[in-house]
Amino acid sequence: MSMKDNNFIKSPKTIWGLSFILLGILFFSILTAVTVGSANISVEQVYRVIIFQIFGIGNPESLSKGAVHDIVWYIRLPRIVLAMLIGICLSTSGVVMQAIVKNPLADPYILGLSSGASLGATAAILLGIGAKLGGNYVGFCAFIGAFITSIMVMILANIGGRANSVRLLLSGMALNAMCSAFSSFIVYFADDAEGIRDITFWLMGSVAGAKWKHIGLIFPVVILGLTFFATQFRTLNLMLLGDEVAVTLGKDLNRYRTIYLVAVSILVGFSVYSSGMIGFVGLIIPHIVRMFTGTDHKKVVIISSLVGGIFLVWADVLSRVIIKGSELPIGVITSLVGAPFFVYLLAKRNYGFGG
Amino acid sequence: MKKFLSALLVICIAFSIVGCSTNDTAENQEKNPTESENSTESPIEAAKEEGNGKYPLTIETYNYKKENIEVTFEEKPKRVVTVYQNCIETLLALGVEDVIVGAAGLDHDVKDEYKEAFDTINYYEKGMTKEEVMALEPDFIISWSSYFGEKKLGDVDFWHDRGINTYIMNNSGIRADRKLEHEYTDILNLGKIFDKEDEAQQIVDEIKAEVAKGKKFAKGKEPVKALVLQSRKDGTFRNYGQDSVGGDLITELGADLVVKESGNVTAEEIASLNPDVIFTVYYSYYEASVEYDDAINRLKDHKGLSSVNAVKKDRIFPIKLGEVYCSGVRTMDGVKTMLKGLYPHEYEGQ
Repeated sequence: MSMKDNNFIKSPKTIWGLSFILLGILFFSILTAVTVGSANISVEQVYRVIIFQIFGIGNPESLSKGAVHDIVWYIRLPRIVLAMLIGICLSTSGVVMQAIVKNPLADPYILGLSSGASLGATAAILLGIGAKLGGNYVGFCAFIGAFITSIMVMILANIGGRANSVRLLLSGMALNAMCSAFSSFIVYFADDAEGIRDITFWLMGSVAGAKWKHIGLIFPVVILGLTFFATQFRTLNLMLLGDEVAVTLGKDLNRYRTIYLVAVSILVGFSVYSSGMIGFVGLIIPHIVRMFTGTDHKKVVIISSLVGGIFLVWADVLSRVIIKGSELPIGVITSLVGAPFFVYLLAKRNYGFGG
Repeated sequence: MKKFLSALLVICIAFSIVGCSTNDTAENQEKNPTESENSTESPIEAAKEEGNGKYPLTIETYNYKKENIEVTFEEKPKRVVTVYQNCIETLLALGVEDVIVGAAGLDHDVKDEYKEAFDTINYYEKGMTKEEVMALEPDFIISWSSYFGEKKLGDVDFWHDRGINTYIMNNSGIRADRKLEHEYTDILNLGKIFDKEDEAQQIVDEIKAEVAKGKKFAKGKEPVKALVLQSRKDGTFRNYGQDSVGGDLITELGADLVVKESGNVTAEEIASLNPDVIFTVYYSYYEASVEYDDAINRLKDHKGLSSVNAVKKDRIFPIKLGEVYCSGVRTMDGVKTMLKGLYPHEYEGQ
């Protein structure tokens, strides 16, 4: 882990500054992203609407209703803010999950969350379960599926012995297989071509369905989650060193793992609820950040969340402009852009996971 | 670190305050149009009782949650967005192409008789995003239920709040049962909405007359045993049962639909039921498609099915999905294909 050229980022003071620079970039990204879209609206019009909505400055007659207002305020801005929140949510969860299972290949969905969510979504789309719950019943069922699965993973890992990272991973695998089997079962018997296509699209993840209502719900959750994990850097660092070392230092990691896992399940559950599953963000953003900052979670958690937010805002922009007239699922973009970049970094730098 | 955390908290709080205040305004705005809508409700209902076919006109349709809703047209729609085959073709058949401001989602080219009208409309080759639909400032959107999904246009309330009406085609997955009857309903409803009731009635009457031939041909004979199948690549089959337009048509045409349930059906079952005629559904996105041959050959070449009457007597007929699924004006073609298949001699001799 010798990265002399990057030592400047490692000192605590510059981390401070770096966070603020990233926050600035994030803010700038949102302002730029909101001007991009398939409808032809001038930059000036976009900002007029936003300034009117936030500060009440401008002519209410022309700025509070109409197609331009609705496009900017109800279609573009919510999805951009949602993309930012999901980015923060997934990269933070990714960092924590990688520490919990002590494995660099972990992503936020690894412990059964993805297949649990798919099962929930499949049941909702093909069997119509929860259709009475409102427009986003698919997301709701996916949330329930993901949450129940991750709780079951924890229970399973604790049966007949204390849960450690290996037991967690194995329980996750087992439940993954079970949920996938149930999903396939439903898909086979429902036999609904359009429904199956819906599921495929749903699983690719998208922030197109963003609404202010959802954002009001997920915003506090994401910020609370981020604040919580930002204060937990000592325990997270310890997790990389393993249970034996932790015990000699007087810490019982098992208890923390459970708490973190519940917190991550809630975070990821909410992201699944509002946008389906967006792959790769939770896996690569933490790695990319570690390459620059080292493995200390004091920095990794905060910096990853900000980088994740910026990354997803731009991924969403790309997904909207790359093919005219249609929107690629954002999950496709994250993998398409993220994977080569990750390979490049891996090849170029001397990288270690820590622990 | 403490300093850093406190700074972070301050930022969060600042953000959430902005978030809350913007939410409030958003909600207020959403409320206003609904209130104004409510206030106009009573005169509309009064008018509805007075006279039929005049505006304001109330039509029953659905929302994405599959609930029954009513939409009210104050006047004939002037700016219409219409997405998917039958939504576009029905409007062209009614001769109201001049009100279409945006269309998308064709599986095949429109029927020849509508080509000229189609050339005048604004067709989005690659589909329309929510933004593009909004920018067109439509007053009416016609589509399938899937188009109002969370990740597409969003549920109908969003559009209703903006005074934009919606209509979801009855056979597009919004109801549990898909029936021939619903195709009529859609055509007649759109006829009412666009003040083209006579034209709509004529289209429906023509289809009904063609359907009636089926029962006439079947009179006094043993009902023909028929199946509507889709054969998949892996050698399994999907049956179009009573709750699909294809299956419903078989019964309406006086034949016997031997498997009533929609869903998977095995070759073994088909062999033991021994249907006289099999209609095999193909997706024809391209005119000369591989799917067409496959649809026939997968049944003909199936060794286990060689003793089935339909195979022995070479009575396997391909039928386009677009003619039996959300078929609109193509229902007519579906009916003709089936009549030819079920009653070849009678149909020729008429």
